Amino acid sequence: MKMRSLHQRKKRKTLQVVVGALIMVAVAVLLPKFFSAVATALMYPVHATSVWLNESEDIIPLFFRERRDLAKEIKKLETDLVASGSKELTMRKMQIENNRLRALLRIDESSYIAAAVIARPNQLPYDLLQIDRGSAHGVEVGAPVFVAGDVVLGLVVHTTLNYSFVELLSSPGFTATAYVLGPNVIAPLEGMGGGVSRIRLPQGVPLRENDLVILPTIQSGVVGVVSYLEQEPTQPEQYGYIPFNVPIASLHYVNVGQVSLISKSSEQIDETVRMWVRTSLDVSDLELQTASSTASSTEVEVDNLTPNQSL
Amino acid sequence: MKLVIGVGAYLLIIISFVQNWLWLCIALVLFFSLRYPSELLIVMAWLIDGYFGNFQTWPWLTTLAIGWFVLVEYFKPLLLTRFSN
Repeated sequence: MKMRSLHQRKKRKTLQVVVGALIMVAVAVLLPKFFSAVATALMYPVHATSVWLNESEDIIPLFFRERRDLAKEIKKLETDLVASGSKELTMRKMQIENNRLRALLRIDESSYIAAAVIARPNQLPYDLLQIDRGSAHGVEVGAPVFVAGDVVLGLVVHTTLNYSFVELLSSPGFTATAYVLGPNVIAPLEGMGGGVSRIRLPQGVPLRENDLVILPTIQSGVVGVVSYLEQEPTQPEQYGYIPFNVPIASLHYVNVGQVSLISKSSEQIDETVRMWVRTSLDVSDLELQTASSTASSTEVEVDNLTPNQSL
Repeated sequence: MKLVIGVGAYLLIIISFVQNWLWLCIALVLFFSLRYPSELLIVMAWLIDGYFGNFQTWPWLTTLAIGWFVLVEYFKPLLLTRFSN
């Protein structure tokens, strides 16, 4: 009897609470703004605590926030490392295949000259490098300079016996024709200074960040990847900016190629051939000498006259 | 002591919910429901709904809290008698 009344009392209490809560909810739904303001006022200490935890520069919340951010970054970096590890295997396979193809074409890798960098842009003006190899070591003006195998830095512009100056692709006024992988188009490349080059394309060409840019005239040397885009819809052209992917300040060794590594365009070859054809029939030893005749008679032996000569 | 723990757990439930520490929130809700009157969770849910402006639509958290209260009131005596035995 006692148990049953206890059970019924509990049941009644539960019902009362449920009904009370539902009435509270119904009133709050009918007057949402008022009850929201009341709840916000009552929740102010919790709100202040939440702001303190999320935005304060005090040591405890800062510690937990930085720990959480670091853990997130570590996880992201681990994922990136795994992805780049698998890419490295693909790159290695492609490198082996590339070397095999170069061997088949008998491309002589020993034609490169290793050189140390003895002065860099912060010590020299106008995006120049100074290297410790000169004409005595086989460096020629116009030779391309590489780093890490395929990355083109610039061209040799001046040589002395023991050192040379290299003008970087990024030096202002330097121009070249580049090929952009991705949209797969030819684009003019120009140096902007400060280690940055720029390619120029018409609007509408699908240029993206991380598109690879190469110089087909220098053994398809890599310039870099597009890291910043300037795409104003109102402008007819778009620009992609390419910084050096190798920090110039930590560059210590470069490879200097031969001038013959720079391939000529078909127009240049045609012009060279045309010039050779034009001049190949000139014989420099023979000269036409004119003979002068005056009113006084000049004895000429008729037998010695040739058909072209006249009296 | 029981009061202090109760108040602390109550505040921690609200803070952990607002901070999205859901595992801590669930654990504390279970603890609170078994040791203290679970109708207080309805008041808490009502406050949180008001804070997030859920009264403009429907206060789902309060509805959930009412359902949780009914469930706890049904199962709590069973659990307590089992553990006491």
